[in-house]
Amino acid sequence: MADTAAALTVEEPLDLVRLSLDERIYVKLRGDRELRGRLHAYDQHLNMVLGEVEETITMVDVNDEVQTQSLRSVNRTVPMLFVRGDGVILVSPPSRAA
Amino acid sequence: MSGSFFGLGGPADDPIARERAAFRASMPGASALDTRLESMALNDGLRDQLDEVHDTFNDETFDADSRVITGGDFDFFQSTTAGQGRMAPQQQQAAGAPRKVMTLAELEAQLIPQRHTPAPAPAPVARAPEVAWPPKLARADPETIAARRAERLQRQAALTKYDNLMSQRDKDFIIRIQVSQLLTDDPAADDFYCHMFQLSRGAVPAAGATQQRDGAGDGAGGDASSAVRALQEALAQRGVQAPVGGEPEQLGAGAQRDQHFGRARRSNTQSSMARMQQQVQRFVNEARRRPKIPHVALEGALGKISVNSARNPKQVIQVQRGHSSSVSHPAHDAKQQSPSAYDLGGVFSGLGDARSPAAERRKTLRAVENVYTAVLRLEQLIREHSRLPSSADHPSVQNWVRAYSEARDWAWAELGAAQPIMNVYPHPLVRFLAFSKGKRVIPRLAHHLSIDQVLALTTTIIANFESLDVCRFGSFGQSAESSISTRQREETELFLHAALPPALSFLSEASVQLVNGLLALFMERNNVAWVARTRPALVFLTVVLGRTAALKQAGALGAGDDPQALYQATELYNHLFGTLQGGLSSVFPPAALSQAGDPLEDAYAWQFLATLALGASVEQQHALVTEVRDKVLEAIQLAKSGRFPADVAAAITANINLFLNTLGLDASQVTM
Repeated sequence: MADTAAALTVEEPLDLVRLSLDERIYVKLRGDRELRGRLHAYDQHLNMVLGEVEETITMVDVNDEVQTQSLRSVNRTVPMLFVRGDGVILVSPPSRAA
Repeated sequence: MSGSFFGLGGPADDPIARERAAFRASMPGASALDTRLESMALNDGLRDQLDEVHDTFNDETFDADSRVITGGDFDFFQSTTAGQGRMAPQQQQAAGAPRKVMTLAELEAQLIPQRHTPAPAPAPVARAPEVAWPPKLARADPETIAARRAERLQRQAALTKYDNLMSQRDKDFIIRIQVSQLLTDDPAADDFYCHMFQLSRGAVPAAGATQQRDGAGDGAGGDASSAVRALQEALAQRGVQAPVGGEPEQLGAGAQRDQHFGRARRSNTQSSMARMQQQVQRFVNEARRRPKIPHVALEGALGKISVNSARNPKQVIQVQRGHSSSVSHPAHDAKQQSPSAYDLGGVFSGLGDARSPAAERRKTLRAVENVYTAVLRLEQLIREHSRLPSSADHPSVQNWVRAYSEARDWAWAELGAAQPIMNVYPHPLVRFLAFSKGKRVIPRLAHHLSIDQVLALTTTIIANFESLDVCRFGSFGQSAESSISTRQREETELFLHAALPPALSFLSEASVQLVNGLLALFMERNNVAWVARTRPALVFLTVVLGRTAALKQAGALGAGDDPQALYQATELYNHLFGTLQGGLSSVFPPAALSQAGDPLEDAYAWQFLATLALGASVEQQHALVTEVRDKVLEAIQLAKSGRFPADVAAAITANINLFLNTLGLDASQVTM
């Protein structure tokens, strides 16, 4: 716990995730899901604990008669969330528009 | 262990199974299902303590015949359907008949008639099923009482019938296995998160550690104490009288329950707790004698089997990273060495900021994380400090001292407070403090810093005060527009509660010369009139002026302070007053806030004015009063208006009086 490597002179990709601790991040998950929340903890599998999370699920509605597809997104807010690293595709700072 | 315990023989030489079979046979027409239903009806509040005979969970382990398992086809389906339609298996095994796999329909057919046949024995008592708690003691007719007592005696007899089957040696063996899993050399590190969680929820009882310490050597206190403590707390919550404190309302409920069951149960658990603690201590000592090796090598086997546990998990493959650092980009290298680059050329560093704000941000974030790593290491060293040998010559002590100062110096370097002030805008420390996690780590770090370092930190903050993020939005928020956003407010609160206090406590202990110097620096480097609108600056000035006034008082009493320094302090004060004059009413937060929001928000402004008035001469006092007269009247009116409850109005008046009293006035003197 306390004996992590000394100065991060050689950076691994996970060290960049460390920089985002306690910051708001954007996570893309499998199943067309996205999360935006505050990163509280992570590990080498990218299991993460996120706070004040807003989850967006994007679904495609196929309309058979008219042969169209439309995108629909569902939102929900969760105060504290544990994400299994298995389903994480990418982690990034939120787009700077925020 | 004795073979009979695991039932290696058949029913013939297994006393337990024999007795159990006999017991079951004695119940008329009953099957396992019947007896279970009966126990449900007879629920007497012993709750989840399942009767020995009804506990068929482990039967397939304890009753299993190994000959059937290892020889021939083992029928997994039949042997694992727990008790469903299973008649005494021992008889089946003895007959050697292959077990019938029942289809679902047959199972149901077997179950349904069983459910409908009422068992004769429990009939008289089923009249009064004790499913509700607390038991109704109202039914006083002697017949039911006698019946219930007989029933209870019978149940107790059944429960205690198979007591004392395991020898003490057997029990110790099993407990030793379980406790050895909990042993740890360094409970503070291994159970770190559990400790912190308990601390944040309200004190870990420390008594457990002292009970364990046996003089058996250093570190013995730690060893299973956390686990034992956790067990004690769990028991305490169940209402058992805890050796260590439990929560009051649960204790109360437990005491009530105990009254019904008598004292026996409670003291039983207490003495068993004590016994367990003795045992644990014995196991701890034994385990220390025989250190656990991570590899097991059997005789005649070709290799080692590694025993994985929570303490030594599977290791991650370490990849050699030696070569990759030489491939790094030269520009990247330049950034890495930036602390020395500041000395070389201020020009380039300044450009460096503008060139890639993202890289600068990342650099600052990296610095913050490095400080966190260092602080964690320092805190771990402090925890280890108590376990070090006391003599200063011991090499481990010297190692400790070296590691501690190394970590501290590294943290100080990363903090960037010592970097020259002129070169870069905004100053690295300012950028560090722009992040909330940066503000949060300051008090934890300041705990380990030397006085000089704290002074340097304070100086840097003061010198760059107006570029602090909290000042920047504090001031802009004072415009005609609506209030500052919640996030900005949170950051300001965090700054005032976390980052500033170490500096302030340093200030309140500082000498006159230091305080003068810092105040002069503040006024020189910052636009006082502008920054005085922000709350952090006002808080800072309050502390400085308060300290000066206290020192002046001590000087007046002849405490031997340098009179010239005191004179200088007065000069500085006059200069400050002159700068602020004319804009004093703007130290208050905008009027919109005080009406819509909390009327006590301007408390800090009143405190500032009070300390300002402390050092004021008569003319200065006049000037003060003239400028803030409107504010005072407005506030008094607000308090008297009756819009707020009595205590809030009283608080408003108290705030105003803070200021007025230093001038020798009082709010009650104001006539409306």
